[in-house]
Amino acid sequence: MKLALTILSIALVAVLLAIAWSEENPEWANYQRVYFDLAQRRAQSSTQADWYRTQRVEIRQISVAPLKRVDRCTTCHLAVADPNFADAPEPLRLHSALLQSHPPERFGCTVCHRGEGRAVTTLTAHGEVPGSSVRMLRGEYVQAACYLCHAEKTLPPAATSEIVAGEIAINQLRCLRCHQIDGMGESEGPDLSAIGSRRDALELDAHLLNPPAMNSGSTMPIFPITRAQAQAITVYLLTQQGDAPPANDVRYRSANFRFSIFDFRLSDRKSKFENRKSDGVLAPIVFFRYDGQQLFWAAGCGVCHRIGNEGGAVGPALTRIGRVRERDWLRRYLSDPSAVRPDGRMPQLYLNDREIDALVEFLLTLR
Amino acid sequence: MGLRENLAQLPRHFADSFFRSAAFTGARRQAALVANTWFLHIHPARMHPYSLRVTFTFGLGVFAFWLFVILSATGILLMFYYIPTTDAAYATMQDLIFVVPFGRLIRNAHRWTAEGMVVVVALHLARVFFTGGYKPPREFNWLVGVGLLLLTLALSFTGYLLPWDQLAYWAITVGTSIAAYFPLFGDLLRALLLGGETVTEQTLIRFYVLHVVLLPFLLALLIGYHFWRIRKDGGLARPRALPTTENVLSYPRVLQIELAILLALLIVFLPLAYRFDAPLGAPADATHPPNPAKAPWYFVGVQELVSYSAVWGGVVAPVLLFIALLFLPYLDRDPRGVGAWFAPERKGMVAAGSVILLALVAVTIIGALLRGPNWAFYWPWEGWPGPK
Ligand code: HEC
Ligand code: HEC
Ligand code: HEC
Ligand code: HEC
Ligand code: HEC
Ligand code: HEM
Repeated sequence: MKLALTILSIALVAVLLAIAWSEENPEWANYQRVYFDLAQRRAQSSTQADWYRTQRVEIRQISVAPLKRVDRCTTCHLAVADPNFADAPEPLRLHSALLQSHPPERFGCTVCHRGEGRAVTTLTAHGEVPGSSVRMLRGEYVQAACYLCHAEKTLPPAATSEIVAGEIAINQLRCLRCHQIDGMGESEGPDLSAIGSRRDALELDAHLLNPPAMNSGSTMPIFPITRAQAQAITVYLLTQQGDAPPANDVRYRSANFRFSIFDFRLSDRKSKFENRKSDGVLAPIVFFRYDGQQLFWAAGCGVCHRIGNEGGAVGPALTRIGRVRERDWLRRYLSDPSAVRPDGRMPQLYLNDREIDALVEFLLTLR
Repeated sequence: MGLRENLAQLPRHFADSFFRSAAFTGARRQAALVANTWFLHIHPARMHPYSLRVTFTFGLGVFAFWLFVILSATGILLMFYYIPTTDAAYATMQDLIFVVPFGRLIRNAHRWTAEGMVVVVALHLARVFFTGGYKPPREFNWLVGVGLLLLTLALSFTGYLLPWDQLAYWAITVGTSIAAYFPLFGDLLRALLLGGETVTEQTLIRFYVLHVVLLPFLLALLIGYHFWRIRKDGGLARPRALPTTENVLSYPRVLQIELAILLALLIVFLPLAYRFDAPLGAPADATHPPNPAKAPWYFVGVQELVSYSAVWGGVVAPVLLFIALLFLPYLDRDPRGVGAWFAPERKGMVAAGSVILLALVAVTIIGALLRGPNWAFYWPWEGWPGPK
């Protein structure tokens, strides 16, 4: 008995040590080290380099009090306001000029991008884990957020191209003969006035491309739309948040909120890095390793494809794709599906080479 | 005696003053050790080897006890961060998971041990039932046990709301509306629990106070009483024919077994808690009910019954079951077959108990796993229609 107790105690200590060990080196600390290291080398002056050198590796957060949000995105996205990083890979790239009118220390990130502001691991922060209700808006999809704050139709069309295109498509396809939006239209299908608070971008895309797959027995017609049209319609639908935003979310449209945002003085933010040109080529950053399986769910493949029991049914099941397809074919297909199958319905997902490699290697293991 | 002498003897004197057993030697010392120490005296000084066999109790009662201890420890750690307001509750849960050092581990451990405790307590009840452990003179301890079961369920249920996510909000909404099916006092009970008509901040603070103050206090008290009764009732039930002379001393044997169970529990639960995250849904949202909305799994059986008939399933069946549990030891007093698993002399009881147990497991599985939107039936391989 004594021996058993000793063994058990040692095992317990081992378990505790193992757990403590694996909590040791979080992903974000890596990005910060790389960033400060590169930033010192790329610094324009020795004072600047010193400033970087004295920065600590720690969780960074922006507290947006009027919106009751805490965003920790800048824990990894450290360079959003650093012009020396205009050509760096994510997550260390300079943000587009939009942040000059929406400075991060006042707005945070999730007002525009959604995502899980408090999280500090990539997939969770991006809301790209299965079951997340705050899937991040990437690329063009971000436009869906602009009219939460700006009065409708006040932004330049260039900044809201997708919304404009989406609205045109919805009128052309006469969606309102079955759906209502803000009290207009018929009610054969569900009311879409608050659809943006119920569905995320990938679900909407998938539904538009093939309604029965998202909802078997759906009577909504399959429209002959292109991928680009579907995206535009989706962005437009995402702007439809209804009059009642989720109870515990910000009341974006309340007078109170507008007041507090406009109360911000934006002028004090002439960043110390402003007007500095970036020079030369950046050392390649190789610390971000793509994991094909994670990426499969993160990039939204799972919304349309099924592996085993998990996933959607818009596209074919990929449970045994590794037996059917070769590496080269998959690589060509994922980089541009329409080049391989001109009238296929698989969207172009604009993946980069490393993402494609990771995905292909993962798909090949499915046998 | 000089200071030096006293210093040299300090460890021994301290041990004597703590264990209060210096006057004895040998076996009597070991017995005194248990009898004279507050922490240990709750054990019987001697136990019958029959009761110590793993396959007799499976250590389930001790498991339940340690789970409660682990829950209290992790619960106190969680309390350092958790803020019970509708604005902050969900955010503090996220902070615990995302940035508090080891916060995720502690939360997972708390959640999984809580679910584990419901299972273990139910299994312990089943073991006592199937070994006839509730027969005289242990009738009252069985009633105490029923109280422990109810408290365990209540603790689990009140804890369920605290993360303030969609799962929590709607599970409590469904759970409390089942309570409202009771005639006469159902609505009152629900209003008392919720502090209003629906789940609000009032409910959160009520559940919080119940969960961290009142219920754990009652549970600890009752567990102490339960253990004391075991000692006073002459240890665990066992067949009459066994001689008592073979009794072994509790110290150190029983204590070692208990310690081993704790260590084994931690070794199993910690890696599990590290690897598997406890669920946290979207923030609670009163305007978007999920479909289906399910009660916590240990009440989903009742929800399933309610879907057949609100009165029969929601009131009659649970009340009958509860009455049966309460009166069982006073109605079934036949001393034959006590202390043996599935004793042939108790064929009827064993059969009845097994049928009820299996039926409970069956409705729970159907309700928890096979019910989709609008409580329609789906096989697991069918999947539900529509985006989940
Ligand atoms: C743990 C570090 C980490 C955190 C925290 C994080 N990100 Fe990222 N982010 C990354 C990495 C790594 C990439 C590049 C890989 C990718 O696209 O997924 C990225 C990419 C992105 C992209 C897309 C870039 C592209 O080229 O498509 C956006 C937009 C983005 N992040 C926004 C956010 C927002 C908003 C948050 C806060 C809610 C956030 N991120 C939090 C690490 C992080
Ligand atoms: C005012 C809204 C707004 C805010 C606030 C905002 N972004 Fe963006 N972000 C955009 C838009 C719109 C794009 C798309 C590129 C463009 O046209 O500017 C974008 C692009 C990006 C990209 C490039 C990848 C892509 O999808 O094209 C990353 C990474 C990113 N944002 C991260 C962040 C982070 C981190 C924050 C917080 C510090 C943030 N953003 C705050 C609107 C915003
Ligand atoms: C959280 C609310 C919010 C969101 C979301 C938001 N904005 Fe803004 N935006 C503001 C506020 C407040 C100002 C005013 C800044 C000022 O007056 O200096 C502003 C200013 C601007 C300006 C500059 C206007 C000017 O007159 O200088 C542009 C352009 C703009 N926003 C575009 C966008 C676009 C495009 C998006 C969507 C990607 C967007 N905004 C999302 C709040 C928001
Ligand atoms: C012939 C009638 C009809 C037309 C035309 C139609 N729909 Fe639908 N739609 C439906 C029905 C019925 C449903 C509900 C079944 C389902 O979920 O597929 C639905 C569902 C939807 C949903 C999912 C709603 C939810 O709550 O998940 C979206 C989004 C949608 N439609 C968008 C559109 C758009 C955009 C158009 C125009 C391109 C359109 N629909 C045209 C009948 C129609
Ligand atoms: C919006 C839905 C959608 C998304 C998102 C999507 N796919 Fe597809 N995919 C399809 C459809 C539909 C097909 C069927 C082929 C066709 O119509 O051309 C397909 C076909 C495929 C095939 C070819 C199967 C075969 O053997 O013919 C592969 C491989 C594939 N997808 C992989 C992916 C990966 C990897 C991702 C994520 C990066 C992804 N898909 C994302 C809809 C989607
Ligand atoms: C918090 C929950 C509980 C704890 C911590 C607990 C603990 C224990 C322990 C340690 C024992 C000693 C034997 C063994 O390990 O099996 C025991 C015995 C017993 N328990 Fe429990 N118990 C709990 C709940 C219950 C419940 C729900 C019942 C039944 C309704 C019950 C009825 C009994 C009875 C009658 C005995 C004596 C059995 C015998 O003599 O064979 N207990 N309990």
